[in-house]
Amino acid sequence: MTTIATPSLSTFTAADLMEGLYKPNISTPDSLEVINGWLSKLNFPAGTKFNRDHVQSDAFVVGGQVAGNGPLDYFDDAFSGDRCFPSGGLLGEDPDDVEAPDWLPIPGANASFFLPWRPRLVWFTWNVTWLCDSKDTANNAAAIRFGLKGSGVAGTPSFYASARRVCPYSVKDTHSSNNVWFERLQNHWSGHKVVAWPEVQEYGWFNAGLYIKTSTPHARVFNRSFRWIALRGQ
Amino acid sequence: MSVNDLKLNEGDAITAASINDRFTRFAGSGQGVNQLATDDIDRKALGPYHTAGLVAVNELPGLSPGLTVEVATSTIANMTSAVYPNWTPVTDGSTPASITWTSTAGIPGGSTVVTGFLAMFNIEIQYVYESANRPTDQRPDAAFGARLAVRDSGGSWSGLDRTVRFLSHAHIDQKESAGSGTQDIYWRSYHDLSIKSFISAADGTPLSGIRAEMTYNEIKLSVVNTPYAAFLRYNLSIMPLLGAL
Repeated sequence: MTTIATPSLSTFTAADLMEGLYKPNISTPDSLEVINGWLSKLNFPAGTKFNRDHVQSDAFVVGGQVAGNGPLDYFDDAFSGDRCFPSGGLLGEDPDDVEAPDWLPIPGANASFFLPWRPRLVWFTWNVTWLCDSKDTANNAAAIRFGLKGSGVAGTPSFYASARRVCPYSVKDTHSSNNVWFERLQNHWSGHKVVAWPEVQEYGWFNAGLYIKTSTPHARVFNRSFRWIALRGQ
Repeated sequence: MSVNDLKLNEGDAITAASINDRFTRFAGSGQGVNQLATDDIDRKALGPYHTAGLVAVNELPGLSPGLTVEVATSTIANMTSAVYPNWTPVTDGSTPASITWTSTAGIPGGSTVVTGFLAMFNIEIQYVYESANRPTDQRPDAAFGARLAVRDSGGSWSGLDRTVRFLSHAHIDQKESAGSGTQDIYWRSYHDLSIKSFISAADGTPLSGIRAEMTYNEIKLSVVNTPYAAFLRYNLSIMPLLGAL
């Protein structure tokens, strides 16, 4: 759209007047009809500035947070029994550990939110404190991981292996004659995950948060908070 | 928008000229609807359809590998070359924890350089201590450090001291039987080390990259058997901000 070419009547007739007042002309607007929703930035003098009051909330960014204070207890019989680590291994994950049903969303660290536009990226941050007791093998722990799914996420629900932490734990002394305390050990995680296009590519509902799984007898989640900031693309 | 209206009065001629005069007042060059002002836009009138997104990542030239670099595999860090105060880039052996871009290339739509960004780095550290028949009065005493470093437009990396974070080894004491002089003990301690920072070049120098670096320091190395630190997984993310700050 450009600025309006001033209607100019060569003769005064009803038809000419109607044309000047209302005849739509998309290519070269030359009637006052253009004021019916066709005004654009070109109708402003060069250098006209707008301020934040002119912009709608959530036009650029949508964010939110959830949190919880009450302790949450989890016991290993609520899970499938899979270990959090490969048998006999110190590092890595048990291949069976990637199944979503084994992981429970943590209340106070999960949220569903709607994005009214296609996001360029969504930035998730969280804080969580949890502990677990120990078990007499080296391959048990209470693990927490970040997960994301929803109508705006490409592919299947996603767990990101880089966003996964386990609670410290002590293991059994290999000398059977020694007494060992399996202490409750605590971990803190101030984590983040940036999920960018094309992993997040559509407007819609997103479900994101922290999930827990334990193969130790008892795990407890303390204070937790979870935040997201989505930035619009395009 | 203001229009210098001029009403026709009873007896005035209605002609092409008189009508055109009114049109000009309403939509002439630099008049009426062709001369809108900031105040003509209602509060909250501009929405997503009227505005561009804040993140111009697609136009950030040379961004590699992306806004995030992450490793999820298990890696035992080789710390021998990075005993504090020396630092070495974090890597799993193939993937460096670094994000780079071309600082001086033009960016369509406005600003031409990245002068600041938000950065987040998380790394999971595992301390493992395994000892056979070790004396009960000795414990590993070690620390793992991480920091962020930035690359200037000339390609030089500079460590940022204010982003240094150290994680001292948390002792995991185990109850011992009375009179036992030696025993085998396994300690496995998992921690997350987090760095969050806003980084900008105070003098306006364009930046062109960020990476994570690590260091390691330990005491009593000679009297314990196999203490080592491993990093299991990490991710580094940035939110670039374009233009001068």
